[in-house]
Amino acid sequence: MSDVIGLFSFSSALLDFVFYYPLFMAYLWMIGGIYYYLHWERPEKRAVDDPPPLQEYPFVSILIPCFNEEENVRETVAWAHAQAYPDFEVIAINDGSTDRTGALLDELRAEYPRLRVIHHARNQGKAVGLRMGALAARGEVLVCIDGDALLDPHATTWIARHFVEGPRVGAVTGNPRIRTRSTLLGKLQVGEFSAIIGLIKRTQRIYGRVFTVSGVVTGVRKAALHRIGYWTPDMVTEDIDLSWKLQRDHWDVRYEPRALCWILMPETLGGLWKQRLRWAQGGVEVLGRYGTSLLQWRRRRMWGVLLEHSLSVVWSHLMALTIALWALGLVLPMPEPLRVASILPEWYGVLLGFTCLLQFAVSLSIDGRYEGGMGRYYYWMVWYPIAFWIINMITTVAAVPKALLKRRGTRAVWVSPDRGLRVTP
Amino acid sequence: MITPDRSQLIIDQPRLQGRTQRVVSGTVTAVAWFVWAYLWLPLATLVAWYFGVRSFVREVVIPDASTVLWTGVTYLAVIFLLGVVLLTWSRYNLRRFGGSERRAATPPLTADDITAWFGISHETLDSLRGGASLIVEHGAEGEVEGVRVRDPLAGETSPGDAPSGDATAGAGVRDSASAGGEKELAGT
Repeated sequence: MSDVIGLFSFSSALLDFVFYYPLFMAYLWMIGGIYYYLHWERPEKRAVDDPPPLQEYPFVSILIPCFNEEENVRETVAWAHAQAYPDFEVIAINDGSTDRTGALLDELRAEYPRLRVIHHARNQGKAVGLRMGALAARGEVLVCIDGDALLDPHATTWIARHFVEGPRVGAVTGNPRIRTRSTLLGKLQVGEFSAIIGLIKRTQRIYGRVFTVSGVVTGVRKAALHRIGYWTPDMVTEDIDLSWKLQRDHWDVRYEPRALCWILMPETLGGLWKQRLRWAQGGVEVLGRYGTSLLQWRRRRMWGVLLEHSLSVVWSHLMALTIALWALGLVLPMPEPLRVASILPEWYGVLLGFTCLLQFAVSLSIDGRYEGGMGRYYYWMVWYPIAFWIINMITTVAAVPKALLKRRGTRAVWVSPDRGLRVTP
Repeated sequence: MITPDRSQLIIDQPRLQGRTQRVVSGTVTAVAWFVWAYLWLPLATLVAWYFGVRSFVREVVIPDASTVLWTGVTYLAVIFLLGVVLLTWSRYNLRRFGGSERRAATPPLTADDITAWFGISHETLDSLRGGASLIVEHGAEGEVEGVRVRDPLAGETSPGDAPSGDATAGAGVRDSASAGGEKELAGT
């Protein structure tokens, strides 16, 4: 009998956790986002195009690792080269591309005097490409962007400012803005980046440590990179890995919402799935590699992000279990302790619907200042926070075995999912 | 040559997708809105009941007022508690670590640090830093095996320690800024 009671309370506790974790996390992100905004963003009142003058302008090296980017590299180099910053160089690393990327880059040198090009004789992966960029860079501050990303003209100043003002700043992550918005998937990601990822990043800054920089636009201090051994070639997402290594070594990682970078995102289900699965796998990999080493007292500032990330992995599995039990209950008579009558209690639904609405309202008021006209995308996605958690669940559950079964030392390879719909320039 | 133009950044051309895809997207969005609206049904029912619409499609279980109140208070308390924990932790960290640099600033990276870590010679490092177009050969582990400079940087022989006297104006500015930047950053 006591066993039955034990099981019963287990199943109701399970349900409570599964239902309430995403809900209360949404409120935590809203509180964090609002606090960050009031504390850091509002008082300064500076527009994206109006960065403050810096005490000094350290020489910056903009690194662009490219693999088969013939369609994008012209635009990427043009934007990087147009930085409103006094002293910088642009280093494109052609990682053994099999298309015309290499030839194009060499041609572009005639038009863009600050451009330098490193060709890899053979393909080495993004981490090695970035390492070569760091090795060749003459600046102490590196701004790393992807081969299809367009760096906003003032982004370098906004990023460099943190390195000048904070000697313990190891990295600065910018604000990726999605360009590809033709399809439903594109529009959803616009909302996801502004309403969910933006709030999460701000909240993580409030609890001191961030889960990851955005690999697509990140500033790094070379001395910090050197201390942590640069980018790791065998981690599937080099940006998550870099963030954990830097913060484990007590470097500060900042978020700069005004350092905009315009990016292309997948607009097909297959492309999106590949990308998200890779992100989830990257998250599981860092947990495995660095998780236990972060439990020391002197690394306590990492505990917030460690707890959040671990809980989300646990939540994903419990949610999958709950859905499985509920689905099983539809076709089979289930013993009472394991019976999940409904996966959406009625009143919880109201709360969920209200929370989605509130989350978008909060994010719109915070994020709207970086890009006008965001409101019209909200029609496509008021329900998206629910989908976000479902995607999170599926990719995490699929990523865990992939991460566990991967042999350590396997070099990460370039993954180029589709880059959305557009007429190629 | 491409001139960066912000007005060209956003690509929102639904016409680029096929008709089927457009229809599917519209349908999915409509269904999702319906599902989202469905979440509100208990509330809608309650409101309808309040106004005396007894013939509502279905009846929801209306908990008694004290339960609703109690649940609401619990939710708010949890949210409040989360906020307090987050802000306390943030304040604690700001007081504890804000404004003070407890660790000595990291010394600037020297060429020796870098060559030792990457296992390369000073000549190789100079080639890497001094090339405008380079070809790099790698070993099995991604280590540098050789560097060929196809085109050196204009006016520079060895950018790390180029004599400022004979460098071209542009390169001279870059060099001094680079070296100065490293010193300043590491020293603050």
